Amino acid sequence: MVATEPALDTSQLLKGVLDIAVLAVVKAEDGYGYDVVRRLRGIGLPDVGEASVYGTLRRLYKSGLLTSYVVPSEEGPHRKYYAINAAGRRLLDLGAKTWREFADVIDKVLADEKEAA
Amino acid sequence: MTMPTTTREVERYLEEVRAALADLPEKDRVELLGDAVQHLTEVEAAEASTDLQERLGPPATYAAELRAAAGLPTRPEPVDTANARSLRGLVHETARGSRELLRDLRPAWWVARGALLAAVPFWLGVEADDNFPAPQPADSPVLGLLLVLTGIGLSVWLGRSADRNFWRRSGTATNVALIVLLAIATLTASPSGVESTFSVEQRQFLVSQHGPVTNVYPYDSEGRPLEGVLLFDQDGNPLRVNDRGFQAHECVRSAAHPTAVSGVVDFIYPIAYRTELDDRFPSNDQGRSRFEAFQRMMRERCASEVSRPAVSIPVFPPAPEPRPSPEAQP
Repeated sequence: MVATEPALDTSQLLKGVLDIAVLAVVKAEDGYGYDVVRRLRGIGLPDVGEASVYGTLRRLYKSGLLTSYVVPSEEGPHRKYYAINAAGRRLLDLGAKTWREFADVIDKVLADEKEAA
Repeated sequence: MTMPTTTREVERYLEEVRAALADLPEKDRVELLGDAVQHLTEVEAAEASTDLQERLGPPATYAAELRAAAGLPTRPEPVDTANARSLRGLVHETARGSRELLRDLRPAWWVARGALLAAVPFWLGVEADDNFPAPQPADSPVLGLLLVLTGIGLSVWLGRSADRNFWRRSGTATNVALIVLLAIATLTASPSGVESTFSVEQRQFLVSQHGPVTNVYPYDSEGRPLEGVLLFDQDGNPLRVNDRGFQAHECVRSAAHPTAVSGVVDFIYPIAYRTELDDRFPSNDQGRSRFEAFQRMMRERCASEVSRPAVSIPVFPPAPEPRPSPEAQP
C-alpha cells in the first residue's frame, strides 16, 4: 500500500472545465439547473457546487451558447430548461479538443515519470 | 390555482442572498435572484426537508459562488485581498490598524464624552424631547450650547493632560478642531438639519396598518382609476413605497419607474412592475411547444398578479345644485 499524498484539488480542476462539462451534459439532453447538478454528480463529480452550476448556466446562456425555455409543472415549481445551440456545440467541440490535448500531455508526463522510476 | 412556492425559510435565505447582491446593477441582480429562486424551489421540490444553510452554506457564500460562476464581479470587500497576503501578516496589520484608529479616534471620544456628560442629565428629565439633541436649560438653547461646549472643553482638557505627548506624536490637532466645529454645527443646526443627520442612509418606506406598502392605487371620487399620480407627505417629501423587485409565484418583478428631466421618478403611482420573463425562443420543436404553453400560463399568472386589486369605492351624495340646499354638506 502506497502512502497517499494530498489529493489533487478537484474543485480547482473543476473550475477550468465546468463550462464544457455543463455544455456536454446539456447537449446530451436539455436540462434545468437542479437536473444538471444531479447529472454532473451522477457522472462522478460529487463536489460540483450548486450555485456554480446555476451561475455557469446563466453565463453560458447570456453568452449565447445556450437557449432557455420554461416548462410549466402542475405540482412543483416551473422548470427553466436549457438547451445547447450551434454556438454552444462549436465551443464544446473546441473545448473538448483542448481538454484531450491537455490530458494527453499530462498522461504522457505521468507515464514518463513512471518509466523513469 | 396560484400557490406560493417559496416557504418562509427559502424567503429568509433569499432575502440575505439579495442583500449580498445589492451592489450589482438591477438587471444582473434580478437575473441572479431569479436563478436563486429557481434553484431553491427546485431543491425544495426535490428533497422532502432540507436545511438550506447546511446544504448550500451561508447565503453570502452562496451569492458569491453564484455571481462568480455567472462571470460577475465579486462584491467589493477589502478582506478579499487577504488571499494574497499571509494570514499572519493580515492579523498583525489589522491589529495595528485598529490600534492606530483607536488612537486617532480618541479626541472624538473626548468630545462626545463632554457633550454627553452635559446633555444626558437633560435627556433623562420629564421634558426630554425638548432637550434633544441639545439641552435647553431654562428654555435657552444658547445656555445649553454653552453648557455642552464647557463639557467638551473640560473633557478634552482632561484627555490631553492624561497624555501630554499626544500633540507632538500624532499631530492631529486639526482633527480635534474639526470635530469640535462639527459638534457645534450639529448642535446649532435647525431641527430639520438635525433630523436629516439622524436618518441618513436609513431609507424608510411607506407602511400601512396592513404592513409594508408595495404599491398605491389612486381613484377619483367617482371610482375612476387614476394613473401617474405623484404623492407627497405633509412636508412635501415624496412618498416612496418599498419598490424593490419581488418575486411571487415565480414571477420575478421589478419596478419600471419613468424618467423625468430631473431623473428617475420613483414616487409616481401606481408603480408599474415589469415581469422579468425569458423571451428568447428555444431552438428545438419540443422546447418550443413547452415554451409556448409556459408563456400562456405565465402571462396569465404574472399579469393578474399586478393588476389593480378589487376595491370598494364609497358612494358620495350627488353634487349640490347651483342653489344651495340645506342638507347638502360639503
